[in-house]
Formats: sequence, C-alpha cells, structure tokens
Amino acid sequence: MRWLEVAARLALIAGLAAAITLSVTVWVTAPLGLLAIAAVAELAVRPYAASPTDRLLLGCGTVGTVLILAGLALNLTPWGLTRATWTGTWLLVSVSVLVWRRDLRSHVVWPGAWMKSSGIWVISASLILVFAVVVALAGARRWDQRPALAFSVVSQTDNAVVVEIDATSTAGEYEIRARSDTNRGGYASASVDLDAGGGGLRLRERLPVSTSGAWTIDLWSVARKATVRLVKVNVT
Amino acid sequence: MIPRDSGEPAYEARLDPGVVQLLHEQGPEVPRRATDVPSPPWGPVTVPFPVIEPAEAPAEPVAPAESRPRTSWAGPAIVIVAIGVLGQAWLGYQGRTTGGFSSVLWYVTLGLIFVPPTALIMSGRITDRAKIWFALYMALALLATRFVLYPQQFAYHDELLNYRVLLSIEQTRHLFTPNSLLPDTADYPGMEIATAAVHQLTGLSLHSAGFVVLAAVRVVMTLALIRIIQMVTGNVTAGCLTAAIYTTNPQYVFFNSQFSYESVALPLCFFCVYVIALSRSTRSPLSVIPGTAIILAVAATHHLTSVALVIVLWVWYLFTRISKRPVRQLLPLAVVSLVIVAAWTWLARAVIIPYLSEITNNSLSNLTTVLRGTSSHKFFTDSAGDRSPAWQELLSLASVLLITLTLIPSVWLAITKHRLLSAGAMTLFAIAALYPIVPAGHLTDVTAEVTDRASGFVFVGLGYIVAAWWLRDDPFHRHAKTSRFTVRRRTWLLVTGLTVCFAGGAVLSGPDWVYGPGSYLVSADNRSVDQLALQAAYWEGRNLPPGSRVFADRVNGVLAGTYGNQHLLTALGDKIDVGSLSNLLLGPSTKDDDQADARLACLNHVQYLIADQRLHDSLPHLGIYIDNGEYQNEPGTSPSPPLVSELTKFDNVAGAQRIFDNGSIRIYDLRSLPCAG
Repeated sequence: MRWLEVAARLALIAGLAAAITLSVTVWVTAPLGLLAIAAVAELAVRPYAASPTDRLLLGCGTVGTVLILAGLALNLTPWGLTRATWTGTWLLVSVSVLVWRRDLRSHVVWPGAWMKSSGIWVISASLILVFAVVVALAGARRWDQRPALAFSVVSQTDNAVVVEIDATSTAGEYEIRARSDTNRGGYASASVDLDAGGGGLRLRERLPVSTSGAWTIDLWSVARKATVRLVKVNVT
Repeated sequence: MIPRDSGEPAYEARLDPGVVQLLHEQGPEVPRRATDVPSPPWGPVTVPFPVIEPAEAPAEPVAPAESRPRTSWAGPAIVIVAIGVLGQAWLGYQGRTTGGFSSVLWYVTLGLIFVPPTALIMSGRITDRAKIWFALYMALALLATRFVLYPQQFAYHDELLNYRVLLSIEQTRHLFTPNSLLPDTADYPGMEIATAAVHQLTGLSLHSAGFVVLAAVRVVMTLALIRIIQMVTGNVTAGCLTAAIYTTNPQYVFFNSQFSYESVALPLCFFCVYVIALSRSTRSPLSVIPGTAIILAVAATHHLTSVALVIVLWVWYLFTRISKRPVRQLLPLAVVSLVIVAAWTWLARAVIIPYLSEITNNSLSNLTTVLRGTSSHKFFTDSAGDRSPAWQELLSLASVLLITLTLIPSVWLAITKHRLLSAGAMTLFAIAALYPIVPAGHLTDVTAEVTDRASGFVFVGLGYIVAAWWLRDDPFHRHAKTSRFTVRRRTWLLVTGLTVCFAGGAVLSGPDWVYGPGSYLVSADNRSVDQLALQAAYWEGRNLPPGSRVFADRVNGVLAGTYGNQHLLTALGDKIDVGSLSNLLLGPSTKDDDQADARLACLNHVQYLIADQRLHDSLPHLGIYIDNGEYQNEPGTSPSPPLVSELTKFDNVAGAQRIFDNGSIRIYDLRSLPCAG
C-alpha cells in the first residue's frame, strides 16, 4: 500500500473518531461515517471478491455480522455499548484491517464511460428520489401539526396542583377552573390566550388547593362556553 | 436464448484456500467466448454446490463484443423506478393530509418499481452485471417505499416492539433489558445492536440508523440470493429471476421491510449459506470461522430464523450424503449451528418457550375452530368488516393459482432430472415443496401470520425451481442438456405473470389500510398511531415514573411501553389473565362491576390505565382491542364495540384519578384505589 493511501485511510479512520468524539453535526458525521465504514469493509473483503457486487455483498454482510458480534462483546464490558466504546471498537477494527491488508493497493477509477452513457438517467433518478424524501418529510411535518389539545396533571402537593396544557395548532381563550368535589372551594385562573402553532406549545399553571379530597379541574373554553378537557385529582 | 455473461464473473471458479480466484477478469464488460477460456479450471470441488457430472464449458457461444447486448430502456427504467418511489411518497403525503390512501395508486406505483427492472432482467438486452444492479435497485427501491411512507418514526406494531429494545440499549448501555411488550425481543438484540452502532458511529437518528441497517441487509439478501442461485445454476439470469420471484412473497414488500428482528436475521441467514458455499472447498479448519460468526449473529438476532438455518444446513448435509458428494465444511458447520442455536435458545428459554407456546396454542385453537366449522374467519375481510375490493381478491387468487400451476411442471422437471441435481439444488427443491402451506395458512388469521413468515424461506426454493424451469433452454444446471422441455418462453408472459404474483402477494400480506398513513382506525397498528396517541405516550414518558405498571389497549399500550417508557402488563410478560383484566376497559359498567374492576386493578397492581374512547368507533381491525383472550360479548350475541361509558368507567371509581385528557385518550392514576386486603 502506498504511503499516500495509508495516510488517506488513517485520516478517514481518525477523522470519524474525532467527529464522533467532538459531536460534530450529523451532516458531516453521517457521510463520513458511512464512507469510512464502507472503505474499511471493502478493504477487508477485497481478496474474497472479484466484482463490485461481490464486494458490496461481502462488505455489507461482514459489517452487519461484525457489528452484532462486537455489540455482544461490548455488553460483557463494564461500560457497555456507549459512544466511547463504539469509537474504540471502530479504531481497533479499522486499524487492524489496515494492518492486515497492508499489501493491497487500491486503484480508484472514475467510471467515465458508465457516467457518459447512464449518468443523466442516474442523476435524474437521484433528484426524483431526493424530491420523494422531501415530499415524504413535508407530509410527516403536516401530520405532526394537526390540532391536538391535552390537559393533564403533572404534579401535586398538599396545597397545590400543577396542570399542563399541551397544544398543537390550537388557538383560543381558555380558563382553568378547579373545584372541590367534597367541600366548598374553588379556583379560577386568569384567562389564558392560547396560540399554539404547528410546533406545539406547553403551558403549566399552579393551582392552589385549599382542602383535601377529590378535585375536578376543567379546561374551560371561553368562546365555546364549555369544558373541553377535564382532570380529577385526590388531594391528600 | 438468454445470452450468458458479459463481465460479471461466473462461479465456475477455483477456490484457493481463503481466496476466491474467479475465472473471469474483472473490468470492462467485454463478453468472452467460451473458447477464450484456456481450459476449464473447475474440478469436482470448484463449484460451491456439488454436482454429479463432470463439468463442461458453457455450451452456448457468447455474443461477441461488437454485438454486446444493449438497450435504450435501461436509463428510462432507472427513472421510472424513481418515479414509483415518488408516487409512494405522494401517497403518504395524501394519506397524512387528507386521510385517504388510494390502494389503486399504491399498486400502480409499486408496479412502476417492479415491472421495468424485471422486464429488463428478462429481456436479455442488458449485461449480467446490469441485471444484478437492476435487481438490487428494485429491491432497494421497494424498501425505500417504506421509508417515504413513514420517514420519521416507526409506526408498526413489530417495529415498535423492537424499537423498545433499541431504546433500552441507548438508556441502559447494555443488552437484554427485559421488554414487557414482547419479552423474547430483548433476548434477540442483533438488529438493535447493529442499529445502535450505526447510530453512534454516524450520528444519525435511531430511525434513520435503522433504515441504514435495513438497506444494508436488503443488499445482502438480494445479492446473496442471486449468488447462491448462480452457484447452483451457473446462470446469472436465473439468480436475478429468482430474486424477482422472491419479491412476490407476501412478506417482502411489507413485513420483511419493517424494523423487525426477522428482517435482519433472514438476510444474514442467506449470507451464511452464501459464505459457507463460497468457502466450502477450503481445506483449512479455520475456514469455518466466518460461517460460525454469521451463525452466531443469526442466533443473536431471531429465534425461528436461526432454527430454520440449522434445519437448512442439516438438510443440505443429508442431501450431500444421499448424493454421496460430501461437502467438507458442511458437517462441522451444521454441528456448530446446532450447538450455538441450542445454547442461545437455552439461555432465552424463559421467554422463548412461552412465546412459541402461545403461537402454537393460538394456531391450534384457530385450526380447531376451522375443523369444527365454527370459525368466524372471512377471507379478504378484516375483523372490523372491511372487505378488500374484488380486483384485489382476484389478483391474489390469480397469484396463488399461477404459482401453483408453475410449481407443478417445475417440480415435475426436477423429479425427472433429479439425478443431475446437486445437494444444494435438492435442498432448494425441498424448501419449495413447502409452498402449499403458505396459502393454506390463510384459513385462519393466526396461522396466516405463521405461514406467511415461512414464505421468507419457501420463496427461495420456489424462486429457484421456477427460474430453473423457465430458463430450461439454458442449462437447468450447469451440466444439463437441452431436451424436449426446452421450449422457448415469452418474456412478456413471464413479466406479466410475475407482476400478477407480486401484486397478489402484496394483497395477501394484509388489508389496504396496513400499507400507509391515513385517517385513524381502531386497533389497526400504523393507522392507530396518530398524533393523539403519540401525544399521550410522550406525556407518559415525561411525567410518569419509568417502569410503572400500565394497562391499555394494544396500540396505546405499545406506545406507552416504547415512547412512554412504561411497563405494559401483558400475558406473556406478566402472566396476567387477559380475559379478566380486559374488563378494566371492555367490561360492562355498573356499580358492582366497577367495584369488581377496582379490585381487579388492585390485584394486578395496575398503576395506570390508558383508555382510548375511540375504541368505541368500531370493531378492532386486527381482531383484538387488547390481546388474545380479551373480554368478549356474551356468547350468542354479535360482537359490538365497547361503550364509551365502559371505557371510561374509572371516572366513577373512588380513588381513581384522571390525570390526562386529550379529548380521545384518558389516563387514570389507580395508585390511590382503596385496595382493601
């Protein structure tokens, strides 16, 4: 192996380890990681495969197998399967492969003829596939933004109950009304102007409760003049 | 005649210890004449599967370089497949924004992905190397349809069960954390390990990392299948045709594309066979190491697949004994596989035996009802009464008929030529012979699930023998000669038939609603996982103590276990009596009943109860609201959905607190119930 290739491969291996350790953005780490894993796998299986499809088959299969076995082994260590132990495993395996296959030389060939005949179609298909992912993500985003309004009790003490409004794509004026089911007593919050967009909004309100026993807490819509959500708690 | 290769190395190769020396040079796709080969380098041990007769050079001449097969359709086909994926993305978008999911368009767009590559593969107008790439492109495009339909999170029941295991690894940093949703998944964490590794090494989200793993194993599955068949037949086209036939199995598009442990184990199983076949002529005892490693990975990933792998290896070994052609590494690997799988199963016996027992009991129970004529199972109709359109019924029936009709002459040809078959080929025939159980299993819901899983294996053998039969004008195996069976077949007929089988297989895998997003449906897995159900689950994760004992319906329970980090009470995980405990949600609501339900909750230490009022909307699409054995209406009455008052009966039980309400889902805190005694 030429020193230039050794240097490039070492840079790839160390670069990935550094990117993981430094928690670099996924837009860098992901392509770097996939490229580095592919490069090491290809080098490892190259003598057993004479065509690109065989290298792909053996590479993918070997990576899957090695990851599973490495994970089983890491589970036996006190640290388990963490980012640090996976990074250490990556360094160990990739450098071992590099040493093991030090006699191999790589020839990177740009598939010029293939690109000339099929490049335009492949590029077109790639663009369509990217667009498909964009459409899919847009649909998922729209779905996440559908209206939802939850009202809940998140904590309670002897003299207070904390309730939460979790809303998405919901707007309106609301009041929180608490009343004791067993004694005379109650509480009404100031009106809450809720304006939750597609990203969602979470509000918490602390309600003083004066007596023990069962309490009913309503989320009251001022516009509809009705209770839209209701929770019940036992104050001890 | 389908031209033989042009560039893709054949497997008539001599396998030196540890190194595969392929006959053909890699490089430009220049077809070689058979006479260009100086001398046949293969001997009795040169082909991975043993054959009876001495090897011969390929009989038919290969087209010279100047007439190298070419087609102008390859480029457009690449784009059409991509358009098919885009169509699926658009369907997902429509499903989410309008609630409707067009099944017609779903099948049409799937057809765009399936038909062009299959037609090209069988056209004989592209090189062998291109055939393989097209087969792979189609396989990956079909997987991509699952991604574009659910691009951000896993939504199917089995996916969520396995996702829980993945989350546990991330949280505890160790394996084998008990998973109450489906206990055995925790003991078979291979897929989750690989996903966690990809997640940590690339920074991708868990969902994206899962899809990277699924894509990698899809590559393995497709290429291993092609290569295995190529090893048996010496014909790349037969391998690619087998891969195309394999996509028609009812599990391929849907179930085997899910983030589920079998989706990874099955390709690794194929990979194991491929690696064993590849290294079988190696004399070094160390050559069993790769095969052993893969067997261990399969054993750590999925129980039934690992058992199937053991069976395949032993059947293969038995056929080598029958054919008196021993394969050097096969017996040690068969023994090793038996030891590894037996040991792993023993370690997981506490969870795997109850799981398999339940499947067996449910299957037997369903079969008993069929035999007694008391089964309520209706073909092409889900439990809520939604019936598949007539054209889909026709498609699926046509697919079963076509496969069966093709199987008959294929098996006949195999029987007449059995003396020429290698042990590997005989193993594939034996696997294919199991095909009738796949459609027969659809007599009941439970057995359909079991036998459809078997199709992942059966269609390997089926694909091989159908491909071998179809391409019988090429060598049936490397040494076969043409005969009266060598009638030329029409490619368009094959592609049409395969398309019918492909669409029919998709119909068999489930009702329309299962394929993509759309409006809410009761107990319908992906269609029940909507923003309200997720809102409740995320709330549980933020506000309830982790690992609290929760009881809920099937979908909200799985979400509570996965995203809410709660301990869902299940029959398998907690030995609860579903029949009685399901009364908490489904049983009638009277004052006495409510008190009885409160006692029941106390007895089972139920801390939180999740009640989804939408269960009242219809009967469950998957047959159950909660789990097998749940409360049913009185015998003799027609099944009806639970009343809202029954679902929300704990509003009136003293001590129960309603702590969450989002309009559809209510969560009750039952920790303060007065549990006398």
